[in-house]
This record gives sequence, C-alpha cells and structure tokens, in this order.
Amino acid sequence: MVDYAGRKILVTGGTGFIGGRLAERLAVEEQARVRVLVHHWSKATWVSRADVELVQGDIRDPHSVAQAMRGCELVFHCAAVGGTLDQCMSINCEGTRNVLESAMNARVERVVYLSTIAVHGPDLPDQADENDEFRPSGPYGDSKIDAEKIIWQFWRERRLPLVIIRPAPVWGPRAASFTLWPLNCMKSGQWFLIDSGQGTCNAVYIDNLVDALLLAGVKPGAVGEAFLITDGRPCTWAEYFGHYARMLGVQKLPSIRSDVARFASPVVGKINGLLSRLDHTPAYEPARTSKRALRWGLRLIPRLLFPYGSLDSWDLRKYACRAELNVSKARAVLGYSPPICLEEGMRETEAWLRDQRII
Amino acid sequence: MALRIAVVGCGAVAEIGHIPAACSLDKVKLAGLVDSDRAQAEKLAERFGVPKVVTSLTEVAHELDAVVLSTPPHIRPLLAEQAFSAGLHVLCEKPLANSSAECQAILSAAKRANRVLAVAHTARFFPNRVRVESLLKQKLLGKVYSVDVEQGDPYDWPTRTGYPLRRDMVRGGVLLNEGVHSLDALLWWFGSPVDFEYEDDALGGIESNVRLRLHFADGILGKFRLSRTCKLDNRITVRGEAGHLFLPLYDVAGITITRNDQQGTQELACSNWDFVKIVAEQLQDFVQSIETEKPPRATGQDGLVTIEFIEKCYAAKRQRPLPKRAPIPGLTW
Repeated sequence: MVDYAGRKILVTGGTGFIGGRLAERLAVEEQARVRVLVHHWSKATWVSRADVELVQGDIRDPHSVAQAMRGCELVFHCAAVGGTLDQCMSINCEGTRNVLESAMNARVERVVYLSTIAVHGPDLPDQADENDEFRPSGPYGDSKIDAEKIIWQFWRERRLPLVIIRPAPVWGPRAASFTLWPLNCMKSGQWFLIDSGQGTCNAVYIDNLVDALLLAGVKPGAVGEAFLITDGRPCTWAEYFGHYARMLGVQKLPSIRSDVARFASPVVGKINGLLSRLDHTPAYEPARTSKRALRWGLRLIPRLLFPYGSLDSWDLRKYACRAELNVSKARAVLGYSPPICLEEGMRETEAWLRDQRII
Repeated sequence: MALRIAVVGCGAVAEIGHIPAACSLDKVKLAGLVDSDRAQAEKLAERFGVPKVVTSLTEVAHELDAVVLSTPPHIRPLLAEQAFSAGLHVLCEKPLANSSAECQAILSAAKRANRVLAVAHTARFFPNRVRVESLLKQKLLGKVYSVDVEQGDPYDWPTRTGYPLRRDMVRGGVLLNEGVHSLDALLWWFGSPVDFEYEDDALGGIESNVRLRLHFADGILGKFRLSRTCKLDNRITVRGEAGHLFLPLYDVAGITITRNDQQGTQELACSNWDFVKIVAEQLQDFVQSIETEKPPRATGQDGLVTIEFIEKCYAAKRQRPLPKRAPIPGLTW
C-alpha cells in the first residue's frame, strides 16, 4: 500500500490491541523493520509472532524511551492506559512527552500519535469533524486532551513533524472495550440497548484503523493535522451489537429508553456510593437487622431500574447519540478508503472469537 | 556426603522451583548461585540461605559436583561445556538447547567427560504420566486409536528476561517452550511419529498458537492444540477400542478411566499441583543417577529427540511463504 520497506520504525503500545496489529502489519505486509517497546513481557505473546524487535522499557522512563528510539526513522505512539487519573496522566501525558522529547533528539522524520474520539466527548453534533471542541469527560479522555496539547505544542514551537489520529470506538479481534466486553456481558444476560439501539454507531474496524495509521505515516499533507477515523459507513448500535447477539444465539437484546436511563443512572450512582459506605462496616461488627434491611432494599433499586446490567453516563450518552461523524478530511488528505465493511469485519471477528474459544 | 550443587541462572524457574527444591533435599547441598545479574542472585541467596553468589560458573566450579542450568536456552550450550569440562554433572532446564546441533554438542561434551546429563522434562515425574505409560503397556484400552492434547492459557510466566518471547534468545515459541512437556510425553508413550502435519500462527516471529497432527505407528492419530493466548481444556485424552482415559495437564496424579466393559468411570488419585515437590523429585532422580550410574528418567537423548522433532515442525512451516495480508491474530496456517 505505502512504502515502509526496510524503514526502522518504533511502535509504542506494540503489545496492545491497536499497536500490536499495526506492528505485525508493518512487519508482514510492509516489510518494515519494527521495534516494539515492551513493558510487560506477558503481553507480548501476540506481537512476538511477527518479525519485530522487542525491547524492554517503560514509557515513563525517558532513558528507556531514548534507547528504544535509537536509529528509528518513524514513530507510531500508541501506548496509553485507562484507569485512575494518576495512571492516565503519568502514562498518557508524561509518557507522550518522553516519546516526543526522544523523537526530537533522535530527529525522527515523523511521529504518528494515536489519540481518541473521546477527546470530543460522548455525544457529538451531527457531522462533527476534527474541529469540534474538546470536552473534558473523565480520567482517560482528559489525559488524552492534555496529551494532544503537548503534541500541538511540540508541533507549533519545535516543529516536530506530527500527525494525530482520533479513532472512533475500535472493534475487531482482540478489542477489549467494543468486542469482548459487550460479548461477555451478553453471555451473562447483562447487555442491553439504549432506545432499541437506534443511536448511530461510528465505530472503526481494527484493520481500517491500521490502514489510516499507515497512511498517516507517509502522506505529505498529513503533518500538523488531526484526523477522525471511522469505518465511513455508520450503522445503528442495534445492527452492530446484533452481530454479537447472533454469534451467541441471543434472540433479542433488551432495550431501555435513554430518558429513563439518564434519570436512573445518577440515582443508581448515588445508591452505589451509599452502599459502598454501608459495606465498609467491619465484618466482626454484626450489622443490625435494620441496617441489613436497608442494604437489601438499596441493592434492589438498581436491579429494578437496570435489570440487564448497568452503563455509566458516558456510555448512555454515546449509545443514545444519533450523530454521524465526518471523516471527509481523512479521505481527502490521507486517501483513506476503509476497505473492510461491517459484515466482513464481523466474519473475521467471529473467526477469531471461535479460534480463541471465547464463543 | 551431600552432593554440592549450584543453580546457574536465577530467574523465575530457579526461584519457584530449583532453589527451594534443592533446599528441601538432605542429599543436596546448595553451595552457590550463579547469575550475571548479581543483585538478583544475592536477593535469592539471602532468602534461601545460600552461602555463595558469583557471576560466572568458572568462579565456583571447583567447589561443586553438579549444576542445575536454569538460564535461557541460548547460553546453555556454553555453560554445559564449561560444566562438563570442570567435571560436573548437569541437570539442564528444558528445552535442552535451541537446536539439535546444540543438543548434540551438549551430549558429546557429557559423553567425553563421562558425566550425567539430565533434562528437566518435569512432567515425566508426574505420577499420572508414569501410570499412563504403564497402562498403555498393559493394553488397558485395547488397541489405541487416538490421543488428543489441549494445552493453553494466556501467557503469565513471570519471566525476568522475557526470553520465551524473544527470537534473539529462543528459536521457537509455545511449542518449544511450553509444549515441549506434552510433546515429550507423546513421544515417550507412542514413540516417534511416522508422519505429521504442522501449523502455527507465526508471521516471521515465534508462534503463540499451534495445531499439530501426529501419525504414530499402528494408526494412532495424535492431535495437539497449543496456545499461549487463550485458555484451552488443558487435558490429554487417549481413546482405544476398550475405552478411554483422560488426565488434566496440571494435576500431577489424577486420571479418569472409562472402560466399555465397565459401568461408570474410575477416578484414580488426584492431588494438588506442588511444583517444588515435583522439581525435588527430579533433582533426587538426578542425584540417584550420579550415585548409581543408572540413566536419569529424562536423559539428554530424550531432550535431543524432542528438539529434533520440533525442528522438523518449524522446517515444514518455513516452506510456506508468508501471506500477503496478515491473517487474523492466532489463525494458524
């Protein structure tokens, strides 16, 4: 597709879902010389299948990042975590700063940064594009916003050639959040649709996203730009999750109205907060009957409001949102033309799920 | 007098197996730990009360009778050569080495020095594996027609160097590192296969998923599915005309036997996984082999045969060109 043959490339986050697939496709399909920064060896079982160089290091440690960067012409910075604000900030922000400093020192030709649609918040306006505002929304999204600010600073003030890719929810083989999680919830009857699943699914299949990343690494007009990436053919969440339901033999997914869910969600949050305080009663102190009854009653309310499990307010807004994202900039500047449709991606995903005995 | 040994290589298997096993045996005196990472060796020496820590085998060889080599495989040939040259007996972790040529070199060095070479094919010390061998010899299942092995768990071995995943240190992945125990059991019970078909998911690196069909003598078909990315059934099933038996991979003693001429199943002893106890038994066997000059339960030759077969599998895979588009993760081809 594009000429990476023989070029030395560093992939951070190369043991993860997106970075791992990118690294193996760079090595197998593009014949690039790929180096992957490994934090936990146990996570390297997927990427070690490809002809890549594995080097141990921690993105929070400038020295190990500099060592990994040595001799590289290009960097795909995909390392990131979710979790507490401290974890997100130290890895997603300070880690990014370490990568960019090392890239400056090593004079790499380009850094492609894997950001996220989460920087724009969960419910975007219709036809939202890369110019849509940033909306703080939680530890992960906030840390990615801060990381993008660092990126833009390096581009504006130090002229480090940078490209930002902001993917929509990523799905496919190995996708934890948008494939494995809903699938596992469905297995235990704990998954439901919002508004019968009529919200718009602007997701992106892993190999379509990797295509976009590969283009971002070489297209001349991409430097200094950010790009939203989706599959380019939005469907409804009912269609999307319907594929997983079919794989599991689930006849019909239950649904909850978004207005009810939005009302109930903060109530459930408050009840859960109260329960966590009540649950902190030391085990050796027998709870009085009234306290036990209160706990039992409180636990019943969330189950009545959300009989099929629970979603946080971010997910509720995302699954209710009916906006279609505009990816025309990626099509025009990168030449992005996602080749894999929903049905084909689902066939591949199902093959992987069966091969790995998940279904 | 106790056999004076040193453990060379202070990574995970030394820490959770060889060192505590050596400390548990009266017939063994753990005289030293050897590791290029001195701090790691000192940490373990302090924890287990080992008197000496050095960074190279040659510094301590003159004070020893034998060594346990628990380093990554790429440096075992050199260390084995050093040990045999110093007149030491060697118990070597599996795989014996990265290639059959290296295995041959280790075997030759042991022969020249007239010293014992044992390989840590630890599963040979599981009572249920030993029992299966004897049941098969007794024809308990009549004519055997198939054996299925499923072995898989997401990888979580607490490796310090990451060597099982690094091509610069190992020549293969899940088959060479984790699968070697089950493969050794199959070759031990049924002999070398007359033919095989091999697939794995390597894309120029090392494999994490394997599908292997083995055709043994007398028409016995073996199927071996192996993974370090997903959880499989983790059991061995042997089927014959008179019934079948299965044994869980991570239970050292349990066997379930179902015979066609009897109602119900027969469950033989079950016991919890006690890795140190098994490793201690392996070390005990090594000591006994030195004392009695009888071969150890898993010899260097056993290690060589397994590696030779694994090399054939990899050679078969290499004949197939890499696909143009990277297949979905885990798919074998």
